Amino acid sequence: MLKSIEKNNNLLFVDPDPLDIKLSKNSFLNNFLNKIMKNKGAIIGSVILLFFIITSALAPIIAPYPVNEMNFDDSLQGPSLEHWLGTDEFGRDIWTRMLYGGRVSLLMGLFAVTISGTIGVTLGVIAGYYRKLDIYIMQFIDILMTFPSLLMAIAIVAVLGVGLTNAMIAVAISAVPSFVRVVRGSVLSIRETEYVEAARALGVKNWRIIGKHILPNVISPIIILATLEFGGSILSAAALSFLGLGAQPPNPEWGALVYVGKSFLSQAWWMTLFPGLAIMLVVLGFNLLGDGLRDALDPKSN
Amino acid sequence: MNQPLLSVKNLKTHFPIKKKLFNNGTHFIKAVDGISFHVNKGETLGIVGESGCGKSTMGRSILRLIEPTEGSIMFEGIEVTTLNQTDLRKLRSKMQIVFQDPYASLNPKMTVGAILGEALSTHQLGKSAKERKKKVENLLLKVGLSPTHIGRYPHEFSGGQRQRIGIARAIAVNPALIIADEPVSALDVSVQAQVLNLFQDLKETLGLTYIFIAHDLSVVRHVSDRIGVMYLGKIVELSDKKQLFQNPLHPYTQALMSAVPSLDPDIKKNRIILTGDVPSASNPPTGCAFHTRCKFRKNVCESVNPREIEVIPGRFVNCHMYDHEFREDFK
Repeated sequence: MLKSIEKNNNLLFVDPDPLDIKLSKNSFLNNFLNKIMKNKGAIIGSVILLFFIITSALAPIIAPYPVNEMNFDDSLQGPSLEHWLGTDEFGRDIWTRMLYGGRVSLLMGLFAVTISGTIGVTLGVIAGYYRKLDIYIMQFIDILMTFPSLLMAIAIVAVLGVGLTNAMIAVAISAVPSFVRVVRGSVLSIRETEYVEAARALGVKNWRIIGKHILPNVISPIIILATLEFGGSILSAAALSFLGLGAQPPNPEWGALVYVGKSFLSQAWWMTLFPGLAIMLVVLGFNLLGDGLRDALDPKSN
Repeated sequence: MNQPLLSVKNLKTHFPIKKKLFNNGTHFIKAVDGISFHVNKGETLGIVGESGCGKSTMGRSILRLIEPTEGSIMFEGIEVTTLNQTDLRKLRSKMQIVFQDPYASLNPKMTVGAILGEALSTHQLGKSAKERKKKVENLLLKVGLSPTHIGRYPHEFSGGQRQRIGIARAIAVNPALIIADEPVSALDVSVQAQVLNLFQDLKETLGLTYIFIAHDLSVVRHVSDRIGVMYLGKIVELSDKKQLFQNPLHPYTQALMSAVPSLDPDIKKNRIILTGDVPSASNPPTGCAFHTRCKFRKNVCESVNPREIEVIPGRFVNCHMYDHEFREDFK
């Protein structure tokens, strides 16, 4: 076989399957958008999230009443045209308070995910890449994981003290282990690939290998996890506030609204139902979007 | 005779397995178990052997991508095994590797320009980005690709083209030695020939030296000057290409050679069919590793490790059959 080809040594290079079709530069992005658009769950999730993000952002403009103004004449009113979602025991408009509460809840989620993501990705990359440190980091993470995350968040708040910032830190810390585990696992598989080996054979420095070869290839699971953790963090933060460990009255965080409403559950169901519904919808939205992203970013699904 | 470019002495790479709580890594996979050879400047040393015999581990151990357990690797008069990371990094430009799987050896998130540019900037070849781009374009031309491919991603290329990119990355840093780890076994046969010819062309124009690892005998025959046959972590026969194919000495080599198909249908071949499986490298047979499948087996093979015997100058074989000491046993 080879001998016959040897004779035609001066044959020009002809690729058996030429790929000279002009591929657009952002084929990856286009492909990704196509997949997302086909995923109904992701669309519904995005719409829900966009609704809450926009209404929270525009809260000062679209809120019909001042957020903390009390009006005892209107206390514990059911949903009506004047007060769409009713009023609380001090006559404050629930819709208004939910708009402002959304800002707190969403921001808490954002900060918690940012903090836990940064710490988690750093630790995960170190554990996955520098194998000697792996056992120490992972045993520490395993210890953290033995606590249910809400229980750990409560413990952290108990140490740091009650308050919004501390609740946020507590939620962030309790979300770190899942980031570490996911990132470490991905890094472990990427560091054994031949292109990382090729980079090492070239003498590329470790931090450059991490930055250029490993991080870009583990970014998909990180994005997916961050989306899912976003919802989880909002839920945890709301749970902490509900337990009275997070946002303090009169601060209108969603969890705190549910907490206040629970005392009036038999007289004013709207005080708990609507903030609770908001929490549920936002978490649902993030989960739907996260699942959609997972399917869209998975190279195997076409 | 001038000094060889690379000389490997008694190289061993063992992997610990089964780390038990109270029995800390006493068990080893002996992937490479005492290999010695040398490569002269400008020649191609082919390494053949079946899957799992340690060919790739040997190649990676020479580059210290896997840390060897024991032995010495002299490259251009420098002992590689004891180099610290900084010196090793500098030396890396002199020894490069081309991988087997062109689909796994290129980062899917980097363009061809970035992949080759990284090789250049790591070793400060090309002062400015513009100069490097020029060099990258030259490299692409050298390996038979077009400079217009510079902004494309690996998934836009076919297997053969990807392997060319892998080769371009290896030659980008002006190496003296390239370890080619089964560089064509993942390619179609028609593309294989083209890539092999590219290797030959580059060897002539750039004065390269190759260690060419493969399991395809016809491929090794095509490219090599000398060939080493590996079995279970050891080189059992090391010889000139011509002599090896005409007159294989080691029983394992004989079995391999008998499996090479011939173009002439009239030649009746005595095919030697090996029975049994390759023994596990974690628990290799005593004595000669091949004795479990060897048809010339004698008692001595089961107990005594064969020595390396220089049958004629430059031709080594690890078999008792050619050892004067055991001549009596094989009468």
